[in-house]
Amino acid sequence: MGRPLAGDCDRRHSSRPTMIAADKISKWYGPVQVLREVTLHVAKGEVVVVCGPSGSGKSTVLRCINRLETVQQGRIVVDGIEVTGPSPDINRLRAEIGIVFQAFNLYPHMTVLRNIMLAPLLVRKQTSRAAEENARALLLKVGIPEKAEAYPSQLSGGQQQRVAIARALAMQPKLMLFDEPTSALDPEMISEVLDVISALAADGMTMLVVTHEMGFARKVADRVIFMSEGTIVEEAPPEAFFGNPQMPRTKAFLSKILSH
Amino acid sequence: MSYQPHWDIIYQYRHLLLEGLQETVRLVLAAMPASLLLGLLVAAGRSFLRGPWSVLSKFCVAYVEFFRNIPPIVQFFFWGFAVGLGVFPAALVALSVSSSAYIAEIVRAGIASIPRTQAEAARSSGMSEWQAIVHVILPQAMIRVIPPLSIEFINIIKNSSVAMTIGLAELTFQTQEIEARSFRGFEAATAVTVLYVLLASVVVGLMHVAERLVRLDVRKG
Repeated sequence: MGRPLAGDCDRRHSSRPTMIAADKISKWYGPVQVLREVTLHVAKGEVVVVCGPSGSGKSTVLRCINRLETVQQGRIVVDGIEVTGPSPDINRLRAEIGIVFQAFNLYPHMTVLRNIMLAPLLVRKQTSRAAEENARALLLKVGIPEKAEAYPSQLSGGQQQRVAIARALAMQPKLMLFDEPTSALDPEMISEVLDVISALAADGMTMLVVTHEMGFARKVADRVIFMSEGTIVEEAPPEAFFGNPQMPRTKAFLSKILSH
Repeated sequence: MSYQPHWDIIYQYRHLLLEGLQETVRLVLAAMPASLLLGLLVAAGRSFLRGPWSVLSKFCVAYVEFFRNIPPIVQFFFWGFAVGLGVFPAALVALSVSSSAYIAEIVRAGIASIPRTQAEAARSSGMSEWQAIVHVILPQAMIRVIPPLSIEFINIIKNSSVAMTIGLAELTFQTQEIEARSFRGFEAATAVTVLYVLLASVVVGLMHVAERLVRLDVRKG
């Protein structure tokens, strides 16, 4: 079957509107090219997993979508708004995109509750009461309601990441980006975070997840993308991707990552 | 024949010491928040201004270099004699401005020590640059720089003594007053020294309390 072209994906998902349309994006850090004409589309409600060796550009693609990084060539459109335009209303765009980082990046000087409440208070101009209610509900959803008054440093890694997920969800985004959400966690805590992410996916959230967790990808992803050296090497639904990888680089990567 | 200190001089001239203490405390109490505010503005200007505003950023660099390289006494003379402000206003401006240059560098280092990922997390949720600075970056930066700030606050106490050169009747000035009237300079200087140490201890104590209050959350766990 080989790598389906972007056109094939559109045909398959033409019933669903496109949430992310990244077309031929290229990026250089000085002389080094980290993204080579990458084209990636994510439909509304789709869960797309991106995997690949370090340096493949997978995190960079993610960060370009909410303009934490900029691209030198190509076009990115999120829910109809052009990210790569000359002057997008970047704050308004980012309010609709939730992102969860590998290192959690919680605000250490605030309680867990305040971490979650801050953006809705400042950006959505919610009242304090509404923001707090919302935050407590989200903490319950991620399984740690009792930690509301704790500070991030008092939490385990898995708990911190779940707070980070709650914080991203507090803005009620249309799209969630996950940048290796479990890579910094001890193995025992990985499943508690993956459970939360899987539940989110089941609720219909559009998600782009960069991860090495292949078990998770197999269960939850609608599509798995393998990137290497700045390009998409292979892209397929999980059964095809894991069951019958086409490209030699994909096979090599999978054999290394699935062997332990 | 060794010197016999007459400590009762201190009691005898206590009104002069009290006046001096009052002037010093007035000056220091006004200069601390003023220099902190100025220093914070300059540090923020240097750390955050970009694009069309970067001219102001360069101005902040010049401000720091200028006012921290000129000795305090020269700055006091400038505001007192060259500009011609009243004694207390000149002392306040000189003290605040000269200390603000050091505080600006301290705060700038604090801001720079906050990982970029904090700003990324804040901006990624839709917060404006201003909101990210005010709610996420600056609070963390200020918590971090409490120890070096306390050093600079003690310097403010020490530099306040230079105000006597432009006529402020603060503590050090009173040493000379008492000496002139009683020839008991040693006792007067000892009393004044103790008072300065007490003032500094109050500042240090308050900073420790402040640190323990705000860092409790950071240090726990």
